[in-house]
Amino acid sequence: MGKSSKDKRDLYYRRAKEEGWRARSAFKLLQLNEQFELFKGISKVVDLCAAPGSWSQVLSRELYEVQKNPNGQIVAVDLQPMTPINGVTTLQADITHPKTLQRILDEFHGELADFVCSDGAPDVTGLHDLDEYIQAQLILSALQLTTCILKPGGTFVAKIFRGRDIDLLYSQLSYLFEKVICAKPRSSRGSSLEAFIVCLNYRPRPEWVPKLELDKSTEEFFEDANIGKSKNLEFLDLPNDERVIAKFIACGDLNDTDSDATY
Amino acid sequence: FTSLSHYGPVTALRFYQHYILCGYGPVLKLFKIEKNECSLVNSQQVFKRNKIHSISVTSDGSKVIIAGARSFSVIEFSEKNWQFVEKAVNEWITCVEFLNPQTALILTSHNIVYKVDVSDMVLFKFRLQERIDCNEKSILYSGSIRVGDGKVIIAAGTVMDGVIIWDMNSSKILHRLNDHKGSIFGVKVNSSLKHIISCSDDRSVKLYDFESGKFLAEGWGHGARIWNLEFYKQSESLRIISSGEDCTVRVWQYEEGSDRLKQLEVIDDCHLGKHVWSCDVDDVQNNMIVTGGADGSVRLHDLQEVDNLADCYSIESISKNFGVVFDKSEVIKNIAEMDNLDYLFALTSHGKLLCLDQSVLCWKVVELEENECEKFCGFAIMKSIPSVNTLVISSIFGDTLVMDFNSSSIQPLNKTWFSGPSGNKVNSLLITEDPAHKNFYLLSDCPNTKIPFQVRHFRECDGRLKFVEEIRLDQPNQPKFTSTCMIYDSINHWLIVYSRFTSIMIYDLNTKQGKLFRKICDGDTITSASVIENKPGSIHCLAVVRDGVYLYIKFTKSAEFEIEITHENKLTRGFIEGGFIKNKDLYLYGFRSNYFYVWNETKQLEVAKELCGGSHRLWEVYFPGKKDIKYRFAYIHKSKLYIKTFNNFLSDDSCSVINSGTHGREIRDIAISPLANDDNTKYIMTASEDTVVRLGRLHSNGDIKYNWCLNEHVSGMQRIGFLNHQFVASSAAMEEFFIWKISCLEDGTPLIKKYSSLKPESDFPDLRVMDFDSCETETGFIISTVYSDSGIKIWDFNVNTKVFTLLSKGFYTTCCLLQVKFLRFNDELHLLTTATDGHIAIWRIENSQKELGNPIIRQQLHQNSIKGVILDTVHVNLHRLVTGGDDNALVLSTLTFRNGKIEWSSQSFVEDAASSTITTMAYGGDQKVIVTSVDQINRMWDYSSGSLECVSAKYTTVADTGCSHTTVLEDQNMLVVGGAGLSVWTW
Ligand SMILES: C[S@@+](CC[C@H](N)C(=O)[O-])C[C@H]1O[C@@H](n2cnc3c(N)ncnc32)[C@H](O)[C@@H]1O
Repeated sequence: MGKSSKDKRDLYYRRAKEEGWRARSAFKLLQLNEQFELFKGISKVVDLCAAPGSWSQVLSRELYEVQKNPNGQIVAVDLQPMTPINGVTTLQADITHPKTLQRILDEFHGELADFVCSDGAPDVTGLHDLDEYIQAQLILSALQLTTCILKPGGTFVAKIFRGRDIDLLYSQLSYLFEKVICAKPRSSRGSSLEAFIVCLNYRPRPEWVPKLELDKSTEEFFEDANIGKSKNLEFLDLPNDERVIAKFIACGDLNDTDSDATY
Repeated sequence: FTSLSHYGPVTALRFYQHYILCGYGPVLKLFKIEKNECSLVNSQQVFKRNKIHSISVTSDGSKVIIAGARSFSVIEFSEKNWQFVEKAVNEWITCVEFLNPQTALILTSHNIVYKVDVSDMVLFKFRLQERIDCNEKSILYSGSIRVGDGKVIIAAGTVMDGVIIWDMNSSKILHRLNDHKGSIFGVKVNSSLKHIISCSDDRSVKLYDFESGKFLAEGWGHGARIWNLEFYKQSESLRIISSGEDCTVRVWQYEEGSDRLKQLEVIDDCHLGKHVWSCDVDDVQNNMIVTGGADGSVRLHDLQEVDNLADCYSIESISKNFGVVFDKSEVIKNIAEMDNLDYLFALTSHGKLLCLDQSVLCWKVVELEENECEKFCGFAIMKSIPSVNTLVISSIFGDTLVMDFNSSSIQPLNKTWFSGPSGNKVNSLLITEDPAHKNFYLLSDCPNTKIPFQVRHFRECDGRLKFVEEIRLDQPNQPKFTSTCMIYDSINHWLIVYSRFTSIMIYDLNTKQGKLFRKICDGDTITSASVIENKPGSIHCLAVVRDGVYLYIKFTKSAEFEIEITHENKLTRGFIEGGFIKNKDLYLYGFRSNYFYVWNETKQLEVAKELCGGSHRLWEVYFPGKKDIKYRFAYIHKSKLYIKTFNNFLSDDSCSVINSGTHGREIRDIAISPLANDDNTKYIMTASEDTVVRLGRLHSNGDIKYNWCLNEHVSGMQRIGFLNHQFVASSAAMEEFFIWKISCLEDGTPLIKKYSSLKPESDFPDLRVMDFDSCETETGFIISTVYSDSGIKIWDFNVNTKVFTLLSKGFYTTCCLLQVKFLRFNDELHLLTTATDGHIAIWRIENSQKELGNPIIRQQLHQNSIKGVILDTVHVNLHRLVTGGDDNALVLSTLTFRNGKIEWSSQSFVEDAASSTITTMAYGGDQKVIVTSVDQINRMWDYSSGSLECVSAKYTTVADTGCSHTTVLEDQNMLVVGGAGLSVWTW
């Protein structure tokens, strides 16, 4: 993500420093929680694309200081190394690799997670359709992990970029979750396309057993899941994609710090 | 909606024989190169939504396969209308290739190859025959397929695991190349299966041996990420081209034994902004490189330039090869070219005059008397007047020798001496001629300003100069006036002398009276000037300042001389030594770091470049105007004389642009003039997220032809808009708010100059001026600006004094304001603002009230940022308001003035008006608004029934759509939508 001059003038950046968060992204999770009560009753959490770790800090504070949950467990995964956070197991791994799932499952000793989140974003190239595709692949990888580790009724939150084909993703997610909401926290700049999908109440697909095989791609993983993903048609014709517009909710107090303003 | 035109990133390019196939977003364009001309043969949209990223042609030239995102299509290669059906696979396609004309190979982004039967070119019933993989299904950013020698080699460029080379027939991985750091953006195998090249995030190009997979050499030089690589087509060639984010194309050569690739050539500024997205090289047939940028332009580059070296002469080589005798420590001090005769003259420090006859490449001494040579010892000024084959040399005391030549010999036909201004030293000799080459003026200038200029007037007679008269003109009454260049106006009989410190002295030769205009702009030396157009009483001329500024200046005389700068702009980098206008394009030339450049400012491209060591060299440049020679640049470097001849490789004046473009970064706002021009176009101005503002003309067929690229702003653009047909305002970050004045030349070329600007309040201005609105007054405009710190300011701008007077200011809350609009209730002026908190606010603007106070209405319409607002005034007390938000919603409301109060009421609300944030709205006339969102759909909403109804929706290929504007041109409704590109529609 990196620091740009835009970030430096941002009040959230300064607040993060004051409050001890590793990144201003912390406020995004906090504001999402304000709206959706994501932390209610959670114990086992997976934080994907976690570095530098502000989301894990938020989760750690919630589970260990607020809830004082003795069964609390947080596993954080990122390509970059992370400095330790209380009660968080950090794995340096690529979330698009099937091997990574096994490592997370091992941490939970076979138990399922209540909450999976992903704040991942790749370095953009600037070629819009390619960037949108790579971002979608990252979300699908996070979703792939989620279907293997999230308990039924659990919550999945992921960073998205609202682009041309975001409604394809909304449609696929609505097969797996009861509620799919496009949430924009106040700490997320109005001038950026960043938002978060908040997927509530995971409902595993009937007759589909998510199986992570080392030699299968993400597309192949979802082939039998029946989530409306387009397949290769008989004569390779252009399929009609299923699209759904997710409900939009702006989270956080409107009087709270505006991330677009200059203070 | 009907699409009229589209400009956007050029995503794929492929040479095939004398054709160029271009993937222009979802449109396939076919160009043909014939006899030094390149023209568009066919253009069709082949994909409904997706952009073309890969193009391949069968070896027998019968079919073309194109692919992009999940779509692909196979077309019979022809110049005529193509028949095709858009096909798709379930995955992003990295690249496509033909195994043979009946079978296509599709490499997906998960490193899987699909073998597809594409033999059915009637019903296009393609069948997926086989899926082949090497068991590594990592995500790819790039890849290529090489079919040859009975093999099919897949080169996969992964996001995180380097390069994987595998054999399709055996499904075995041959090599894993991990020398790069970061994602692989390009990987190719050459046609003879001997080498592999790759490029990545780490900005290097790496070469490997195919057989062993061993790393051979790498090339460093690119200033940012590299997107493309190609081997030269000839299999024995060890040359590679690369292009990338830094907008350069580089040619590399592998030299056996070296672990560094040699950078043979850097073609700079291929495109505007960032990104050369596509390129290809043809070293077999056309000897060209083609590049396509994010700016939407497609350009050709001459491959022969790579090996085009300058001729080099030294005192020693001239002495040895041509028998010229030189004195010890004699060096060349002046050079001048006479292009009609192909002669180059060189004058030495000892006064010896030499001539190089370039048609036979032979140096000879020009016979001068000994006392003549003595006059030029140590110091001389030498200039040529090519149109009359004349050479002029001035001694330090201004004694001037005028000689003319012809093609039969390098010895002068005639020699005439003119004496200098009696014993005073001169520091410059200026020469100018009128554009018709009939009148010539020579001026000798003494540093002592008490001594008048010594001006001599000559006329052309029988192809040579005939002396007419000597004129003495008083220098300006200043301690110093160092003249640098001059021009002559033959219609008005005016002589204009330019100097250092950007001062200009204009003389009416009828009265011999002059007027001084001191320091007309920032900068130091005016290096060159020329006449653009003149008529009785006025002259328009071009002047360039070394620091990088160029100006169009208009002088008029009624009683007194008056000056107006009608156009001014500065280059982002480089010093300017000269400029000229050719075929309505402005060319500038000069030095930039260690090379000399010629730059087409109108088309924004580099025409020529020569590495010469920098600007302190003794140099001359000539633009012969001969068909095959574009320019000749002569310079002294380390005591050697270099002469570089740059040849034309395309005969037309397209300057190698075969498809014109717009901006190289996302377009943030569009403005269209309220008034049409005489040629049925309207001025259009676009501002992009870098600091660039462009001015051009919109045609009713959707074409947009740009004239200017303005570099006045230094921060990211926010808004641009016409205040009336003559004045434009633009706003950016760092509190920048400029007003520009638009005028034009007689030939219709628009001119624009920054007219006035708001002075920032803060010492370290930080605020973004988010929006502005204006209304005309008798003396100018009332303007309101709104800021990212929730500030609102109202100004009076006086057009005659150029002064802004603050009338009133205030704050909304603390959040960022987004739009501002003036509106009237009960004939009183009010202000409407929108903000990131989803609220509108209305303020009453009371006369002489310095503080704006609180808004009289504050109403929430959206969950968060209001991104578009259309104010439709029904009558003086009723306004309809349509707002679109980041929350995908569209709201119709009314504002009425009733019983002395302003009331707001909601009429219609559409929650899911788009699947992704609405970014812009434009008024469509007749109670219609056109709403565009990041889902890349333009939707027309009609609210005449009192309720919002979507009556039309059309996909636009412009990604990151963020701005729009509507207008009427030649009775046609037009919509221009901008983002990563521009598209023009009509309805
Ligand atoms: C915006 S940061 C996340 C910030 C984090 N949520 C926090 O609160 O500090 C995005 C991260 O995604 C990671 N990332 C991107 N692709 C990844 C992948 N395939 N596997 C793991 N991490 C990845 C990057 O390394 C980067 O640290």
